[in-house]
Amino acid sequence: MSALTVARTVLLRASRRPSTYVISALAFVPAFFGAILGSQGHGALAGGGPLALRLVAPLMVAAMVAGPVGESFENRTVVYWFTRPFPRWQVLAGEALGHFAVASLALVLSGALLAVANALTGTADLASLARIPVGLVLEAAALVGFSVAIGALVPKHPVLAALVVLMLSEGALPIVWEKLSYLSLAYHTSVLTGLPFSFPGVASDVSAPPMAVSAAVLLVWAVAPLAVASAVVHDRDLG
Amino acid sequence: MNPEVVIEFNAVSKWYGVVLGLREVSLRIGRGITGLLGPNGAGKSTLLKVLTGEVSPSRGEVKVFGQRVPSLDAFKRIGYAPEIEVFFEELTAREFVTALAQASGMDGATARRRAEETLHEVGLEKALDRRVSTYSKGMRQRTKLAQALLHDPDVVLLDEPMTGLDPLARAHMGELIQKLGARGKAVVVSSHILDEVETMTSQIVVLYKGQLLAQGDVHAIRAMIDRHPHRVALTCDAPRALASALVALPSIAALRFPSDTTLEFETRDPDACYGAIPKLALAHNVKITALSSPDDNLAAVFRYLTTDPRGGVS
Repeated sequence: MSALTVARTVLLRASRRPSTYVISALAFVPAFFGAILGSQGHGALAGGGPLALRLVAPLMVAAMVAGPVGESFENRTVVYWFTRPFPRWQVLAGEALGHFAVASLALVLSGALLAVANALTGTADLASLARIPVGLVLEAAALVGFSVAIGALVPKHPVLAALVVLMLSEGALPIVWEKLSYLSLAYHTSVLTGLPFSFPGVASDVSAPPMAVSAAVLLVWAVAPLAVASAVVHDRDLG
Repeated sequence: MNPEVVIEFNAVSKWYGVVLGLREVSLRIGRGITGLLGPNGAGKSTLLKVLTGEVSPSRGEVKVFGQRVPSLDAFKRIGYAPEIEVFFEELTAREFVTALAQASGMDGATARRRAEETLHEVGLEKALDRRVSTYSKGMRQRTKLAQALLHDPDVVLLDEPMTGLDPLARAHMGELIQKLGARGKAVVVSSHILDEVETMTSQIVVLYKGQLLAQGDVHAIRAMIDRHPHRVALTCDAPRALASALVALPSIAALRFPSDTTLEFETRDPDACYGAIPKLALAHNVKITALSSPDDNLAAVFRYLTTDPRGGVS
């Protein structure tokens, strides 16, 4: 119940923060590049897909979520919640719920625009029109859970910390050894959405896991960091 | 448990790494207003943070109404206004306080009603729907007080509530705090200014370098000041003429002339001395333009308490 109060407050605050809209503008980038590539006959999804999954979504959510959460610990406004009669983990759960509402909206918009760009420049693939936004909602959940946790655990430099981890999981590690793509949340989102994970010209011979496995991995990305952060914050001094 | 004891510290110590926050603090606080005094770094905020579970003690235990803190049950009875100056800046005061009322367990309608009531109580009724980011320092302090009071707690902890307030706002805040004390709540107000606290209560707790230096009636501490020579500084047009008259008073312990227009002296009987000065000035036709007591502040109290071989007051 109190987590919902926190979530509503987070949503209201985010809706009044100009940075939310500035960062959300990134949602148009994959569709824009997809449209250009599609019009040149390379396929809108081939370029726009990896861009949305591996770059735009992590960047957008990390900036939109980890920053404000870290700030609330750094400037101690979280004390207003922590001195109320409900457990601290509910504050983190509420932060995650509230930010999920904003982030999923931005990513659904991004996915929907990409699907429309694909339909306009290539084939009107109705299946992808549905699968892409749904998959991106799951990616949003994973990224939000992770970003809230990073904000609580590394409040001094939350965005930087989140981006370093995501650069490793979504970029560096899969490049170093392709099997490490299984750690990537963008890879599992690609399994769910049908969007390509690799950029055009990069061959991939990683065999895709069942969709249920990919959904489970995304769930772990969403919940495990939050659980760790809740345990740490439960006993941690605030200042 | 003694029913009068609301807050109880038993040998509480807190270290921040190698820095000492509190050292073996044991004290009991009852209902009414208690001033928590000490210079910056004395441990006042740490003491309140331990009470609210913001930090956990390295050693010892803290109880509120006999329950160890932090606990969710204790939070139902504690209202806390921290010293931080930031809020959820994107919200209006009404939205901010309503959200915290709901977080305190109230349903939507009750939360909205209580938020409005407490914001009225602290005098923010005309600015309910303004964003907190546009508030002045005084309005922010009152918003903090409102969020601390909205669940009608039995214990109210106010960390430096007078900071940044102009004299009028200070007086208003003082009245609000006194009303809380009169309603039987245990109110702990931290401050580093003795006079500020003296206007609200005579019960004080003095901390210094993390240690409990004194607890009790402020007048006892004042009396301790009076056991020491009390310094008075005067600015006048003829300090030497006035000094020659003052020397005749038996309580004068020392005299100095820091400048051509300034006289500084020490007295063992400040009240008698303050009574004699206007008469002597009139008799010797001396025009006094300023009079102050450098000792009449908390720093002097700390100095006395830390140097008095007879120890503190109880």
